Order: sequence, then structure tokens, then C-alpha cells
Amino acid sequence: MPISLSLGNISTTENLDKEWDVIIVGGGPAGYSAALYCGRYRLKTLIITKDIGGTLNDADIVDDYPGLENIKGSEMGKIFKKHAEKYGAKTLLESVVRIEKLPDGNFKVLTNLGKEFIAKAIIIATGSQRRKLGVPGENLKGVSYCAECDAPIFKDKIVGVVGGGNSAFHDAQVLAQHAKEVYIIHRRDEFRADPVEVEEAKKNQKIKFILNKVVKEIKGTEKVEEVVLQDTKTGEISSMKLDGLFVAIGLVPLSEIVKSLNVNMDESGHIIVDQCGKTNVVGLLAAGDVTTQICNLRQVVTSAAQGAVAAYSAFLYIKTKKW
Amino acid sequence: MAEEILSEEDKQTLKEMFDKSLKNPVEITVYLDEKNNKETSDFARKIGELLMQINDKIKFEFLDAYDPKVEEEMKSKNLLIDKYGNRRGPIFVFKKYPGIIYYGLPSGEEFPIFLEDIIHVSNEHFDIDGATAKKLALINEPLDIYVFVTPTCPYCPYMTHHSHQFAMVKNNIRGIMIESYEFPEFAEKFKVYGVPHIAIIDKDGNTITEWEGAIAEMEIFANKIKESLEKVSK
Repeated sequence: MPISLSLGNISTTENLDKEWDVIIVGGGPAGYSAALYCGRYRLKTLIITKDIGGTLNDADIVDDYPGLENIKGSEMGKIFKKHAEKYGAKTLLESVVRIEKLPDGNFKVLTNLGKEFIAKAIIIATGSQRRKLGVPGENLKGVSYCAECDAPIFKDKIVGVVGGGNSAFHDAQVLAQHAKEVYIIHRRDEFRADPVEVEEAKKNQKIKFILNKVVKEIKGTEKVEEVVLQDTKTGEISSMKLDGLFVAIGLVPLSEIVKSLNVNMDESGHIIVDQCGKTNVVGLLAAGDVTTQICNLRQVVTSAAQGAVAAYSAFLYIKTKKW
Repeated sequence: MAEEILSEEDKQTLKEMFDKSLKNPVEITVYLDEKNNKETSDFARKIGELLMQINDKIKFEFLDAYDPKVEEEMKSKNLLIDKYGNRRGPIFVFKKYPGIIYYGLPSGEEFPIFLEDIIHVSNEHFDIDGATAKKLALINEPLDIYVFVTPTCPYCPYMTHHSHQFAMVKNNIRGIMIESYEFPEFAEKFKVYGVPHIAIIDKDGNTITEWEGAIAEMEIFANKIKESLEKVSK
């Protein structure tokens, strides 16, 4: 495995003001794009996030963002942050535990380390996390939701990837750099992934396909040893030996934090926003994977676009007090 | 002249950062294993040489882990892990804070944390809030925090950072990052199949608790250690 050094982001400890124009919750593409635009609108902006990059960190190489070819996901998050900082946005690496609407229309934000901030507008960009399979044995060691993190541990092993979207194909490519064999297990014989991803995977000799099968159970004493599969057409049960199983069957939105504000959501928990990123709560905006937008195309480029739009709406709201 | 392991631009950024932020000298000992981890031991030397070149407050000492004297020293400092495979390096230890330890290269996602460690040590600055400090004050027995990582894991550095901060404020705690890829037998012994994988080890070498996954919140991490110690003592 090639050794690399990158400076990344070295966090600085500084005292942060209590009052802000905008607080952005979440540091993925939507959050940092919003921060960049807020900064350019000269809004005093704080991002509170557990990590830099959000789900970008789960991506090995991103090659569908215009102008940035073949960039590492985690590197991209750092570039977004740096760009937002150029216009004055500050980052606090903590988690938001509560958001309250105050009688004067402002918001109070509390972090896990007890810090309290006030903001005129909030942009929720908390993103999503990987959906679980919901089958017996999923808690066994060797079941992973982050190929980028865990692939090096599966050197020369046999692994499976469940799913048929871009994430599954990305995972398979990352795993193929280390593992001996990678099996993409998918419930249909067609893929939701972009055709270019499918073509690349088919060219990779380590990647093989197990189609029209769903995982019914994961077996093992201490770690994954075997998966039980069911054929979606015939119902036939089979099993295969695996050392690890990577789950890439979609995303669930991380919208828990705003439930107490009575924000409208769809049945899956995505925050409902209008085309300007506004929610039903005055002063509260949302962008990226946590929302219902845009046509279900959950990409870096769409999240970044939504972040910019939400920032613009926050700017207009703060300036005019109109919602 | 160190081989180019960092771009000119990054070197310049580092130089400016270190010139601005380093106060006292920082000494780091690196134990090298040129028998079993030659590639990474060579790279460890390059990292050290580069950083010394960038700022003269940073000092590295390179030791051969198979030199009998060094072997003795490693034994006395509880750094030899022969029971977990035959690899002895590269291991990085901060001299002033010997609880800040890296088994394997602080490369990839871990490199920024290594740089932060240097700055923290140089300034004797702790990045710990009051609530976490209170939890740590209640932990007084010697213990090791093993943080198994991979260079590509973006969630791992938080755990390395936290464990090293704990080691800075409490000299009974050692925060040990272990690069699973460079120490595969060590990782195998602890059944590491996902990272970050954390193991809390008592003074007799027993595992008190272990889990998989990052805990970004320092206070929750400290509390988890405290509670698992309390459970064992009951």
C-alpha cells in the first residue's frame, strides 16, 4: 500500500464568539458550500461538525464533480473547508446536541461539550449514514459500512459488498486494492450505479458478481465466516464463505436533531425543503442528503448546490427578515 | 537531504506553522525494525529527517530495535510487543510525554495528528475541556489505550488525538496508536476487522474493554474508560 503524507487540517484552538449570523450543522459538501457562500455574503458563520467532509470520507475517489478529477473523498472535504475559511467561516469540531427556537426568533445551539451559541439562522446539513441490512448476524465483527476505513485489514481475504449503487461499486474498487476476491451481491441483475462504474468493475478481475440474491443472514462465531443468500427469483437458499461483508444499500438521513422543532419531514425522515432550502420553521434551512431535494440525486455536486442556495436564502432572511 | 515525501508547498506551510507555534524543543525517539518492517522503518527515518530540517526545535533519535541495549530499554519501557508478532518498529515515542506512542507510521490520515502532537508538546498545551478533565482525574491506575487504525480511515484520527491528549494530562495513561496494516499480527490478536478499534488494557496486560468505532466526543470517551474500570473493580 503506498505511503502518503498530507497536512490535512490541523485544528486550532481558539475562543469562539457566542453570537453568529448563521450556524451550519454538518461539515460535508452541503455544509461547507453553504459556509463558503455565507462567508461571501459577509455573514458571520460557524460550522459545527463531528468530522470534516461527512460522507465524503467514505468515498475513495470522487470523479463526478466538475473540475476536480480523481480526487480522494477525504481530501475533497479538506479543500472545501479551506475554501470556506478563506471567507471567514470558522469550524468547531463538536456535535450539536440541541437546537432551540428563542422567542426573539433567534436560535440557541448547544454542543456535546456544553458550549452554547446564538444564531439568526441555522442551516442543517447533517447528511446521512449508511442503511443497515437488518438481518441476523449484522453485529458480527467483519461487517463494515466504511470500505475506505477497513479495506486494508482485508488484505488477501475474500469479501462481499451488498448493493448495486455507486457506493457499492466504489467499495468494491477500494476493496479490490487489498482483498483477493470481491463479490458484489445484488438483489437484481441490473444496477442503479452509473454505467461507467459498472464497466470499470467488470474490467477488474478481482470483482465478481452474485446477482438476484439477497443476504438473509450473516453467520460466524466471532466474526463473519459465511453469508446465507436467497435467490430473489427462485427463492432458493444458498450460502458462501466470506471473511468480511461491506454494506452499501443506501442511506438514512440524520435528521433527529431537528425533530423537537416540529420540522416537516417525509416518511423516511428527510427534511422537507422548498427550492430555496427553507423548511417550515422560520430561519431554519436545510441542504444536502438530509433533505428531500434534488430529484433524489444524492451527489457532491447537488449537495454543494443546495448549500449555496440555503446560504443565499439565509442571507435574504437576515437582511429582510422575510421568510 | 530528505527524499521528497512532502510537496514544496506543504513544506513551506509546515515551516510557517512550526515557526509560529513551536515554543520548547520536542524530542521524539523512533525505534526502527529494518528486519521485519523495512519499508516503513525507512519512511519513519525520512519523516524524522524532514521535520528536523524544517524546524530545529524538533529532534529525532533513531534506534535499532534489535540492538541489545535498545532492546533492554524497550523492555523496561514496556514497548516490546513480541507476544503480538515479531515486529518491533517503527515505533514513535515522545520523550517528554512517553505516553504518546505510535506503533507504525503516523502517515495518511494520522499525519496531521502527529503534527498537532508536536505542537501540543512544544507548548505544553492540552486540548481538553473541564468535563473531560474531571472524568480523567478519577482514573488513577496505569492503563494503555490501544487505538488500531488504518492510514485511509478518516474517523480514526479523532481517537488517536483523544488518547494522546489523555496521555498528556495523565502520566498513568498511554495512548498507543497501532497501524493495523504495519502490525498485522498485533491487529489479528485483537481481532481487528474494523477501525478504529479501541482496547483498554490494564497494568497486567488484561483487556478491560474493547469496541469498534470512533467516539468524537472526548468526554464520552473518557467516561467510557472510567465506567469500564469501575465495572472491573466491582
